[in-house]
Amino acid sequence: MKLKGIKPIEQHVEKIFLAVMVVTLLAVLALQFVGGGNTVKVGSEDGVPIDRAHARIAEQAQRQLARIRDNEPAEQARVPVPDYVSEFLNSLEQPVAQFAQGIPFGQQEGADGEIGTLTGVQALRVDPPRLPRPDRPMVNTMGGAVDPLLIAQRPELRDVAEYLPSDQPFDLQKVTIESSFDAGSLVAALRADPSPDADVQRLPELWWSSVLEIVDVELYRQEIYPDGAYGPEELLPPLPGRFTLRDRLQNIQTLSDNRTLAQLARENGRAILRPRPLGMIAGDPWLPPADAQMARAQLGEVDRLRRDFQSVNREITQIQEQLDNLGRQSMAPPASSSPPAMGQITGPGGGGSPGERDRRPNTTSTGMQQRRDGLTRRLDELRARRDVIAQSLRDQGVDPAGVRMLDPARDALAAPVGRLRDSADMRLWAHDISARPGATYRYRFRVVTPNPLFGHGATLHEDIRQFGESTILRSDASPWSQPVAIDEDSYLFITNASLGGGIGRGVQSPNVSAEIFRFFNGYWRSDRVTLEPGDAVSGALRLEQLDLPYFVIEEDEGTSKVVEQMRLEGTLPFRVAGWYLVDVSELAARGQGEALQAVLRDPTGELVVRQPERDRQSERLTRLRRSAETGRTAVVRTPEGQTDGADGRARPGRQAPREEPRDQRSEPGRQLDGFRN
Amino acid sequence: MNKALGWIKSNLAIVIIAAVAIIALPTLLFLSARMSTGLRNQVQSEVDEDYRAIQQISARFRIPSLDPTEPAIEFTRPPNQPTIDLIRERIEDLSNQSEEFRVVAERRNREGKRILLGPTVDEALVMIDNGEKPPGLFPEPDSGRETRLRQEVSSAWIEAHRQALRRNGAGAPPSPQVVLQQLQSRWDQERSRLMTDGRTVMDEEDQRELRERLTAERLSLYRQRAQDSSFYADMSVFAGVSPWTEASLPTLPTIWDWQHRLWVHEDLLAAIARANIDPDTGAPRFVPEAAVKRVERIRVNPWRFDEAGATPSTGGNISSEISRNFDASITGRAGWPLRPNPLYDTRYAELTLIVASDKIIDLINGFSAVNFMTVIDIDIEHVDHQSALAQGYVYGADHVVRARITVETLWLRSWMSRLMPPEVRNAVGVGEGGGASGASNIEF
Repeated sequence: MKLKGIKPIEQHVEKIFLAVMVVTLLAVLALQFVGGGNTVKVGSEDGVPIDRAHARIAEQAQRQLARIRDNEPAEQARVPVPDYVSEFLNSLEQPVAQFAQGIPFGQQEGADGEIGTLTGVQALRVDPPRLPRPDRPMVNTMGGAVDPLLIAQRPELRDVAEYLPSDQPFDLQKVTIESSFDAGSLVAALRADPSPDADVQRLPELWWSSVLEIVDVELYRQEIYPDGAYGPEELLPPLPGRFTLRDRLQNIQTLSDNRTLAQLARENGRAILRPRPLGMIAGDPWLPPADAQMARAQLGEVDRLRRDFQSVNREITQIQEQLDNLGRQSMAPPASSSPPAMGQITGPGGGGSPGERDRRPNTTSTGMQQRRDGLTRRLDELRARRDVIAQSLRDQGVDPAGVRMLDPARDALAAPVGRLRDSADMRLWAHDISARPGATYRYRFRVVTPNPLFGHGATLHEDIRQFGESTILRSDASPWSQPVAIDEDSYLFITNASLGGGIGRGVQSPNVSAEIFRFFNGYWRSDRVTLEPGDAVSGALRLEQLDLPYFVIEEDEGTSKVVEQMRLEGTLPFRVAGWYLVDVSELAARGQGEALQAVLRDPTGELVVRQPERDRQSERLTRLRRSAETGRTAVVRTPEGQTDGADGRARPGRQAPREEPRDQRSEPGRQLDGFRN
Repeated sequence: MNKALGWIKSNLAIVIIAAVAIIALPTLLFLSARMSTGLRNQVQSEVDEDYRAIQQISARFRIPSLDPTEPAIEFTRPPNQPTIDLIRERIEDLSNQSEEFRVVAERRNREGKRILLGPTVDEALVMIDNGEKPPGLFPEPDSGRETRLRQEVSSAWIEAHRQALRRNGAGAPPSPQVVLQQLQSRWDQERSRLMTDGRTVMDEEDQRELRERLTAERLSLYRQRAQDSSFYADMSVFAGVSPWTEASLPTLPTIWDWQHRLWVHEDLLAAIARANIDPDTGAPRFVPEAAVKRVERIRVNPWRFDEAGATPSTGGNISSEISRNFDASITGRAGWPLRPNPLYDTRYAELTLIVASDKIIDLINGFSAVNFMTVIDIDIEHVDHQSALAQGYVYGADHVVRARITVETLWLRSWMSRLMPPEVRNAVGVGEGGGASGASNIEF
């Protein structure tokens, strides 16, 4: 039966309550089993049941222990240590940046054949080279007969030697002028370092060493007139036929030309600096002026030594004869000791006085021996002295006969000419073959070289560029030489004068003795004449007496040669043209020895007074007489024409072999045609 | 309400029990949870403590790297002897390498260097190590010879530059005077050849032919000289290298600067020569094929030690890191006087070169391959090839540019300071033990 008034909840509350309790109980039970339970975190591990936590800890501890006891190193420690040093060194060798191939930033512009002006050439400022001037020249004149074959081969000689005769003998007064050039100082100046203060540099040696040679020697002449005035200065041409570069100097255009010129100058140095003289077949031997001067200085000494030598020789001869006589006497029977009988000639001295007889040679054997000994001693002394004199002569370059042993001319001509840059003093000379007889001249030199600055104008500083425009350098002129008087063709010397006098047939008119000289065929020829007032001064000489040759020269196939040698014949007139003896008078001052004078009229009509004493003492007279003496025996050389060895020197006293047959001498000889008086 | 009370009173036991049951439920839950937490915490703390204790048995190992770009090897584990031994071994190896590195670096830095009027740097350092005084001016000259040495050192300095140029294959075009002379000779010859018919004036055709021949001759002269040299350079390229012209003798600090700059110049020339080596054959290239055609200018600013005053000592410890200063250089390296450090000094060189534009890399690599040099700046501009050719410079077929480069050079104090005069040491801040070998940068 259902109770009334009881609600369901009242009816079941206890059941509900019980159900709730049971559910709660179940939930609690479920929480125990379903829920996480009590866990702890052990290390990093979460949810470790509490009852297992310590076990876990124990495990951890075991593991740690195991690791501590591990025999292997930690894995992380096994990483190898890199070889940093090698890596470093390798890295230094490795490029910083790498590209497969470099890429140019552009393209090179073409040169299109033009590379522009040469720039950066440092302008050179140098001291323009200056040639030192040659030394004061020495002069030597000498006359001779020019080789006729040479004149035939070189007709142009006549253009230069304007005073050459038209026919043989081709007498000519030639002048040789000598000087020296101080190449050493020039080279030293070129090699010297410039002063540090000067804004110049040294001239490059390459510029001058290849071109600096003497390419020309210029000879200048100036006539000195009788009134002392000077004529114009003239440049003399080189000897025709001699090597010269003068004509090339105008054609220099390039540096190469200058070098070529210098090379030619080196190869022909002797011809340029010391040309051979004109070939002569007669005349005094040619000597360079310096040697001639020395020879003149030695002449007096040589003459003295020769005289001494001859004197000693004579005495030696006499003593030898005496010794020979003594020898012959010693072989003859001895003479008696009694006085000689009257009239008995005892010797060259005749009888003589008793005193004289006592002084006659002791003919006893003892006396002869003594005399012989004395003579022998004397002979020895003389021989020794002769040897000394001979040696002295040899020291002078002359043998006892007076013949030169040394040939300074040949040595001078043969002496080599070195390069200018290697030389100290360079000897040089030149010849003047156009000197007028009777004129007085003076001479001087200039030296010409290629200009080392020529051809380098582009390199020179603008301040000095003009110095590179000239192709050559010309030195300043040397000082003038001493004036030299050229010999006339003829000379007159008044050697004696007389007022005359006398009675009757012995009356003599005033007169003078004169010695006339004329230069002919290389030497002076003389004639002595006596002149009276009104007489023309003249003389004559037979050429046959001189025995001089005449060479017939003909041209054969373009070559001139001597085809015949004849002898000069005829009369050589000695007219000193235009001179007349006017009078012989006394000097105003008497008591001065021979105080006479000759009054002559010269070609200009002037009266000239000549004193015999002065003329006799004239040096020129001595010289001309010596030449005449030499000319008497001198032999004319055979013409050789233009050869390297011809120097046209005759050697007096030596016979030259005659080429023509002797019978030709009987044929008519060569007459003097066109001979200049 | 009365009913309820009544019910309760009638069912008091039930109520009480129900109440107890109801109250007990959460209460017991609470208490249970609390007890459980406490237990757990206790156990946890015990476990943690034990765990900590176990973990503390581990060690932290670290193997440093000598390469600053590589990190050090670090790990922690319980130490065991093999690991300890291996670590020790590694560290010793690194230490040896560090020492070897120092030796190598120092050797490279001073390789081939010679002291003016004195021995090589190597010889001088050996003498110093043996307690001897090296001959020459550095570090201190013998008082009896000092004056003479100071008189002669200027010439020796200039001559050393000349030799450096020669040694590295530098050359110059033929002088204009020589070219002019040669051309004049050729002109003479050619003129003579053309004028064989007696003419004195050349026509246009002859002049053109002559000009062509002379141009070819001139080019030939230039090319011949170009084939004899690795690059064009002469004494004029060195800024500030000139004879001493002052009345008084140069001071030792001045001479030391000359010496140092000489070494810089020598290295720069060696680098240029190195750049001109054919990488394929290893043979030097001549100007027409070379990377560097010409050196126009080399400038190393002189140091004035007497004006710098004293720099505080940078100390002798070179183990500490030298901080980079990128304001000074792209490399970050900076030395005296900007930022002195005990390890090195830096000197900068400015070069003006004519180079083949496609070989600039060779140039940069060349500098890097010599001593401790780095190209830190480069500017490039156009070059007038024609005007250079007119002066005799033949650059070949390469396109060339003018390169203005700045090179940083490093100089280790470890050897330099031992040769420095006292005034220089004081000026650059080298301490008493300055320059000695530093400790290895290893933590152990």
